[in-house]
Amino acid sequence: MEALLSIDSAIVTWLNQWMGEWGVVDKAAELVVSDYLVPTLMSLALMSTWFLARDPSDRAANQKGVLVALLGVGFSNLTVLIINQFYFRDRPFVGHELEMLFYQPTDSSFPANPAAVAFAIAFGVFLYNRALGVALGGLASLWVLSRMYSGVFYLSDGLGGAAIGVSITYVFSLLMRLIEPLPTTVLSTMRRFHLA
Amino acid sequence: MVASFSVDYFILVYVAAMGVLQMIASRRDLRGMLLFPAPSIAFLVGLCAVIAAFAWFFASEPRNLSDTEGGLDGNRAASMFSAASSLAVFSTLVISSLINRSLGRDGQAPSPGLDALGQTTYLRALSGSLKGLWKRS
Repeated sequence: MEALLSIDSAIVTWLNQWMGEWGVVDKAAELVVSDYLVPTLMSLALMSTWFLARDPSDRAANQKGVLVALLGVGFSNLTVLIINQFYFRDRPFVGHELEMLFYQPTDSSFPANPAAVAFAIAFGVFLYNRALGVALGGLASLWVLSRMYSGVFYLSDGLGGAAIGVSITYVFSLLMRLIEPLPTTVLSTMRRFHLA
Repeated sequence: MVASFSVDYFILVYVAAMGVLQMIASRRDLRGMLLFPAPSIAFLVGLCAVIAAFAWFFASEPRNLSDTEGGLDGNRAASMFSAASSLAVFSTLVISSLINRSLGRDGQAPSPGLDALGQTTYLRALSGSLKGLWKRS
């Protein structure tokens, strides 16, 4: 555990030492680290996934991916909330002298809720649409990296959050298969009204 | 402060979602969803709307604010996204139905699902489906 914490600290301080070296990178990181850019882009991508497909069977698969991702997001959030009732970890800026690009959050650093949410979306889409899922996974990774660069997360916070998002979304993808034909019936009903 | 931030975020999502829907409609040939006569124009305008919405949102005010300093907490941001994107879908379907009202007048039964929007408008497809359901019941 001590070794993990010291690796975490070493990574954050190593990344953060580059802040101020390249203005363009700092500006880009300031944008990416925001609570609004990556989540909004990922949510818009999720909305596009609902509509975007070559044929009706592709579209039905994409739409199941959207449903799985939404359930994954909700329950990943809940899991992080429950873990935070029992475990609190200080943010990196509390114990280290770091330059900040972001406000100083007061909630627990571990597990990282943004990582849980972003990876739940990316993995939910990945299960049904590989290319888009990989692209969203890249966006989610960039978000977590920018937060580490800004001294808001440790690496293990991001990995813990991502593991929660991916595993809970995977459980819901299995559940979705177990409760068939319910998801297909819901989508068929929406298709009658030209909404799916 | 929170109210103004919420309104700004709502506008960002609404405009960006309208743009994304135009890009999708032009790429997937869903002519009944287009707000412009040519798919290429719709794609270009959609892309510009997405870029402009994000550029305006991030350039107009400092946005890295915690929810205690005027930013939005996660739940509020998610609610605002849902409301704004739903309104964008609703507006696109209604406005495009009015703009393209001559589309699908030939009376052919529309394809099921969203594919109908390749041949007709949303309101026409919906009314056709509702009439079909009514006849069967």
